[in-house]
Amino acid sequence: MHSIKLESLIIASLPLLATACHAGGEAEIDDVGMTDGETGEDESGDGGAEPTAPDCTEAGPRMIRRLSAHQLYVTLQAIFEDESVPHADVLSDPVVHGFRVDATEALVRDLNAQQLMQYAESVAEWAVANKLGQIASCQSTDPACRDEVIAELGLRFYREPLADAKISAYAELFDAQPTFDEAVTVVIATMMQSPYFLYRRELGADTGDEGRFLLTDYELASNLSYSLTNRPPDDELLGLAAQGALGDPQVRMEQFERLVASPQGQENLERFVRSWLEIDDFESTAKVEVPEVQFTDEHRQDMLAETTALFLHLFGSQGDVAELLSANYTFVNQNLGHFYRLWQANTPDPQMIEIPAEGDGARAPGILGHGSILARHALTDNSSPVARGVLVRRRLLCQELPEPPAGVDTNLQPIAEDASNRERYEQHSTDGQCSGCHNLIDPVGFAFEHYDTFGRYRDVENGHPIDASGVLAGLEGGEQIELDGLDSLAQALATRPETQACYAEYLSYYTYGLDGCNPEAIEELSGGDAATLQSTMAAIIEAPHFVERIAVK
Amino acid sequence: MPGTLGRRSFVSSMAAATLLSPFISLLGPRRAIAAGGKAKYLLIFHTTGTMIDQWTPTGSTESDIVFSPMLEPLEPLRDSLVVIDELDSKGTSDNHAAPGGLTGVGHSGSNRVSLEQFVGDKLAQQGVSTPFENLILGGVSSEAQSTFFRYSDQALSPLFSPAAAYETIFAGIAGGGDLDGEAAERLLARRQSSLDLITSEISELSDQLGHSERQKLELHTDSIRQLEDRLLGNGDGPECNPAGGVTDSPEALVNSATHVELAITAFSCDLTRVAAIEFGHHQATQVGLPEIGTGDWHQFIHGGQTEQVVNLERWVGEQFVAAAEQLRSMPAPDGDGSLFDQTLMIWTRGMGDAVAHNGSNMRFVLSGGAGGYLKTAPGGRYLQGGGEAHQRVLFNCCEAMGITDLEGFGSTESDAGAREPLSILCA
Repeated sequence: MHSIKLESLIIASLPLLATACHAGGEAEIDDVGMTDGETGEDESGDGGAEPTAPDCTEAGPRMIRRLSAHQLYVTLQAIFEDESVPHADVLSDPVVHGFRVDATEALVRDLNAQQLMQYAESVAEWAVANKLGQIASCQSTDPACRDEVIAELGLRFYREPLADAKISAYAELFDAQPTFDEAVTVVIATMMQSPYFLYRRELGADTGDEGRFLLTDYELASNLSYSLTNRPPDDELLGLAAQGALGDPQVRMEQFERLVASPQGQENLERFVRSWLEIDDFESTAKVEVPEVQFTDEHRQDMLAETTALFLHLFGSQGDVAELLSANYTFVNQNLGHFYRLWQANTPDPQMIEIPAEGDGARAPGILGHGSILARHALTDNSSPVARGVLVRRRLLCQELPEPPAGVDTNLQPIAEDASNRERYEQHSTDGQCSGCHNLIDPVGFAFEHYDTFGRYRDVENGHPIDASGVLAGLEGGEQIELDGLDSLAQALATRPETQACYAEYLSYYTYGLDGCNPEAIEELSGGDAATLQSTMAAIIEAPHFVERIAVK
Repeated sequence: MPGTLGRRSFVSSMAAATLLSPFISLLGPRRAIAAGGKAKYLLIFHTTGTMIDQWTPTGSTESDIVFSPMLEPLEPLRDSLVVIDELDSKGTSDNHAAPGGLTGVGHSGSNRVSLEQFVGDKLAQQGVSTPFENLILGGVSSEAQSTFFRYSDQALSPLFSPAAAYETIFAGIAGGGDLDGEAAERLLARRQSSLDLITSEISELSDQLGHSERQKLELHTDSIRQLEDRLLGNGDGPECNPAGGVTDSPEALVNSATHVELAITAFSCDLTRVAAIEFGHHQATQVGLPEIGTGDWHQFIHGGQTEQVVNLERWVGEQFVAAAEQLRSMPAPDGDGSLFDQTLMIWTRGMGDAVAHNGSNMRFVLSGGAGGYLKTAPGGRYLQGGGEAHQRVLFNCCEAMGITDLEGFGSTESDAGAREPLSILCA
């Protein structure tokens, strides 16, 4: 992310660090599985992802954004009110900042038009064979019925009423076919390839005031719906759009609250959390098999469910980032609870359980103590202080870190076989080339050392008692916080304003698909110190960028 | 797959951008270093960098390869094999997602174009008309981007799914099977009317947008134009009967191997001349194959899991040999020998030394009959590049495909000598 940078210490000396940083082991900076969006497009100057929006507190340019592959399929399911609509891989969503929502890079290009044509034809044939009664209120080729069917389908596919000229254009296509069924097939296949279906529009209507445009009601309905639920607008939103009611901020806020609480709204938040914390691919992350550890696919799923459950619980109950980091309770079912040695967990579905301060089941509070984070940000066979330290820096503090410099052997030099994991990583801080970068990363990661590659608590590693002391440096104002274990890191982060600002920054990127949202402005809109997980999202929806556009050349 | 696809003659459609590559001057015809011959097909394997000490065929000479265990699966290709290392990417391939491997241009460059795009475009300019100017396939599903670039800083997305690739390459324009002439004409007319309507809608939207947003729609329009060219082609070439039942595997590497088979089948019907297959991803490849091991390729490299890295590269080498065998088994579409005789096969990399994230020691494996372009030896050839620019080998690939009106490939400004192909590769 761009707008929050690591304090001047790093930024000012970046070129120096870039040549002086000798990373170690598999644990060089990029081993946390940062995506291309992180390593390629941005830090490395790979271009492409530069925002077209100046700032979400100002009106953005008039734009279009292609539906994501997921949104495209969900939209078809909604149009035909059927989950069994044919599926095909026809679009790919570039991963930027760890998310698949980028408004700038999602395109239709090269082979896509052909893929879309083939897919549209198969969906249209399926729809006419299976859904004709539902999507066509009449079934004849007379002009009145023809125009009615085109208008009905048009509202579904374009997400706004068709202008007369468009109905005429489709009528011409319709009339050229020999039968009603074939005519409807062509209309559906064409609508599915239409840019009005494939792109969300943020064009607006001219206010007459110096190139300023206000999004239309139908555009607002689509944007609210896709931004908050990944789905096309439902009947209620389309009804409000038809009434011209969505220009009213109060109405929009009521819809915001309805949509984020809906199952689709909750699923959209889950997608955000999984991408933000870089745990989305946890289910396929390789782990070593050892006889003494039963670590199953169910454990992984339960760990992911734990993290999304805590987030959704706090989102729905005016919780904030601080509590996300420091909650002394969690959501586990029996399977995961027993893995954590929380023996009181005894239900198949996650239940809220208090984390004991000591004894069996004692573990760090908040998301950092979750198995999803600990096991995903680890190596196959051991913890990774670097991966975990980088997670904190990049995803919780929104600080930039340089990639390891070229030409440096990043594999750890072998040391004594009975050395502790910590001792291996401490090569970073004793090597002059490494220490510039890794003194900011590893001492944060060391605080996680009580947790092994599976996220289990441990007191001993390779015969050594765990040393989980560390330091959190590189904070705004130059403050340094001494750490002893993950509890202390979680508590320290919970008190830092940077974590709320960072959450706002990632959430605004996720919502707009654009960089450039000013986190201070979002913070102010979301209630300053009183900002909650939900009020931050509400602020993003209320920001001028959501409703206003400016014409650009 | 029902139906028969034929070779089509198409109007060459070049995007305007194609003509705007900033680093390649299109000079008049230059002296071709190689007089040996010309390949018609280009098949590219692309992987991340390697463990140098495991890879290097120590003891090899210019006329005899002593295979390292990692390279040993390539043995059956010995007499057509040219292996070259110690080439310098000139700072363009020094880290994950560095774009230099196939573009010869680093992060600081712009308007990148990778080899397969460039060659496909140039062939089209020369009048070669195939339905697909190139195919880019493979990668991993969790990362939609690759190391392929097309006159842009934004990486292209290869087709990850073999099933989707099969549909696109072989079923797309046939219209679902054995249509008689009249039905086929009706289908074509219907599709054209649809595309006309869609194109007019795109321009209606475009009129309301600023420059950068309009560019998105220009790519969309160009994609439709390419589709129309394919639809309008007439079928009068060799029959194409690919085996059906192509499915996706949970293993990304297996999918890439399937893509190689699809690409060669596409060659055999002259549906394309250029295909590039990415094996895995430089940073996010999960592997669970008994021949290799279970884990993450990236972690194999950085965790010192030498055995798994060797196994993995051996496995890719086996796919390279299998591709050569498939090419050998198929007659060339023009009837002149086998497809192998006319194909340049090349294994390229995004980095040299993957352990150290270093592009100063790049390597290539070249094979295929390549139309007689490559100089070969019965015992195989091992060459050391002496720090020459790896961009020179990319130029060789262009030259092997009959593209010689270049002044270098990629960013080699620092060194005029780097703007020539390497003559030691040529027959």
